Amino acid sequence: MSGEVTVTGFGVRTAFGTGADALRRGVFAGVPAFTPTTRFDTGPYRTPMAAAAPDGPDAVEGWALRHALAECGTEGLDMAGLPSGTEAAVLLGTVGDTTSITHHWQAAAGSAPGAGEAMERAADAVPAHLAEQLAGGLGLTGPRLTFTNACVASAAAIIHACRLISSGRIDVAVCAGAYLVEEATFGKFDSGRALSRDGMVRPFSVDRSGLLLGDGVAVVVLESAEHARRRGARPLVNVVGWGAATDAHHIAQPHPEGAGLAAAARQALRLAGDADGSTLGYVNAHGTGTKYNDAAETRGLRAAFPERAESIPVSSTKGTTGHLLQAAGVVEFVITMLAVMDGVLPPTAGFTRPDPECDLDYVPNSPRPADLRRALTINAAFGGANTALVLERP
Amino acid sequence: MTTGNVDSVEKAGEAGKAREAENAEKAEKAENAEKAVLRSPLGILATATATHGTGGDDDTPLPRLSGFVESVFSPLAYEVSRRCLTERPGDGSRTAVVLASLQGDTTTEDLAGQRMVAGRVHNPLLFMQATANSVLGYLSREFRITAQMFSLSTLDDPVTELLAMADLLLEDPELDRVLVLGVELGGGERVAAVHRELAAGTGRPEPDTPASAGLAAAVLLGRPGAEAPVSVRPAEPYDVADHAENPGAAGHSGSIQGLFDLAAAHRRLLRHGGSHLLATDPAEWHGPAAFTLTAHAPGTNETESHAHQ
Repeated sequence: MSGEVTVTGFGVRTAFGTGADALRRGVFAGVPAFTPTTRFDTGPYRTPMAAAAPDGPDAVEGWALRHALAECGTEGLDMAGLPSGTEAAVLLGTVGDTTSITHHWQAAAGSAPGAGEAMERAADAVPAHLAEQLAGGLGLTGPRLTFTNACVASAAAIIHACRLISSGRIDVAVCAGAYLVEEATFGKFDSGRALSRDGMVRPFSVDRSGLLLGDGVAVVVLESAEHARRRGARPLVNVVGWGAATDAHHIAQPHPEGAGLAAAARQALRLAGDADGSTLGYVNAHGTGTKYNDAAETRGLRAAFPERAESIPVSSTKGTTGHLLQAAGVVEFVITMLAVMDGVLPPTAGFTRPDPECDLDYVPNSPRPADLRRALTINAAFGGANTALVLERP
Repeated sequence: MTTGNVDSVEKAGEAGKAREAENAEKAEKAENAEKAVLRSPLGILATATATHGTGGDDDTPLPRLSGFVESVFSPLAYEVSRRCLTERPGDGSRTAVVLASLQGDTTTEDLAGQRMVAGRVHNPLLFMQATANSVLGYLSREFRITAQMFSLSTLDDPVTELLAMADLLLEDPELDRVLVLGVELGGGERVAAVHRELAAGTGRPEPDTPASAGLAAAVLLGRPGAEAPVSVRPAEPYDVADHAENPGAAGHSGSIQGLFDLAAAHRRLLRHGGSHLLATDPAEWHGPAAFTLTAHAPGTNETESHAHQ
């Protein structure tokens, strides 16, 4: 690695609200945000539950995804002290605003309340268009690229930014991810019987029954450490390792031994100069709360650092936020960053009883103080894609 | 003496200016090298293209993939990838894959959306195949690819983005090859509305691909060398300047036509040798990028200039 990568700003929004303090009150307190959602008729589905924020003036029926990205982007750039006109890459993880697809077909069927509006924002369904809108709205010049690889999309955007910065190609990257709960995706997960049956997400618990979706939007400002030093910006955390690997196993299920996840984690740790994970004090797991994922992930973590796995606290914050899909990588990056900055581990909420197949220290239900030097955040996705990022206290 | 001194001073001054100019030139070159789309040449190991439902010569029967229904997106992606990976087998643990598609699998998305609006039960198979990750997962299993796989959406020319991505990934000593591919579906009225909105005020055309048609192209890239008889590198500035005087028409947003042009040039260079200038559509944040493809095997000294449209 030729150049160090540091984080100088962020903006975040979840069902708990906007900003880091909302995460501290919700995620770090172990409070699940699941309620019956009123954004659409949940009658046809097996559960009405999701971690969706109460709808405000920029609710899903409007331009919500675009607005939320702009809001988090402005917050992130303000914190970083970077002005409009900055040359920065904009790297976004999203599959587009799928509400515009739903509205199109509602309009075509004559069942849409705002058919005209739906037709005016057809392009918001295009992932790359949202990156253009974000870059344009923030006044950033530089390359734009959108990652669409499902639940690792925004983690992939961060990894790409790290590569661009560490290789000296760019100085600043604004990385983002966005998902807001909507019916099309909700229906698909329901049809795949992936949603929790008891209205809670219970990662790593023996009685876990599935995931629930949640709102998540976040922007992080990554910068070369030298660039940040030159302009006197305060580094919040450094990113010292990253990795990505594939399971080569199944189109939708994880490898039962967590092979790709272990490979991604090992790659990230090697880059961080800590092949056996001896400097790690915390792992923010993908932990979806599904039978398949959590057991496989546990085995993958054991394979990644066999000597250390039992002594490193691991938690999944999806028990509070729900699964944020394309935004999971960047929101959980922010949560991991706060853990390092605050010295507090967020708990695995909703945990009831241990599963013999999930036998690590999952920080059940209550936050835990910890003097962290480094932490690892992991994500996985359909197609067997896995990502890992190592964060370090400056 | 004085004259000599003056001369010396002047010469020293001239030499200093020359050094300054040289240093400035070096700095500019270094800066340009850092900003160039490609830092190093890439070797082209294999290319493949396939179309479905266009009525053109490239139309091909597509494989049936277990678990994938209704849409040609995944079969097209798989078919062009399969051809490249079969033609040039390699170590899957050192092979990365990057798929670019402006809108992804619009057939699946629209089908799922229409069913939902009509109050029909969601089809779990549409859930499974909704993301491009799914076909990448299928591909990874078939070819034992365990390195990283990404999927992208870009409004710019995917050729530029994919070559840049391969260039960056091949700096990783754990990788030897990057398979890049693009997939584009015709789409129906919603996709047409999207393109109308994207094209408004840009001067870009809207695509004329038939609604039920699909296109895909793949390029297997590695580091240049004996295994890659054709290499691709950034074009020299004078080539680009020559081309800029007569630029080709810009394609529609995210068009993968450039990948087809790259594949056609690769095939031609393998047969006849020579070199080929491939210019890409200008991006919002930079001008047009241009690449030179060069055959290293003996052949004729053909030089072509071609802008894809």
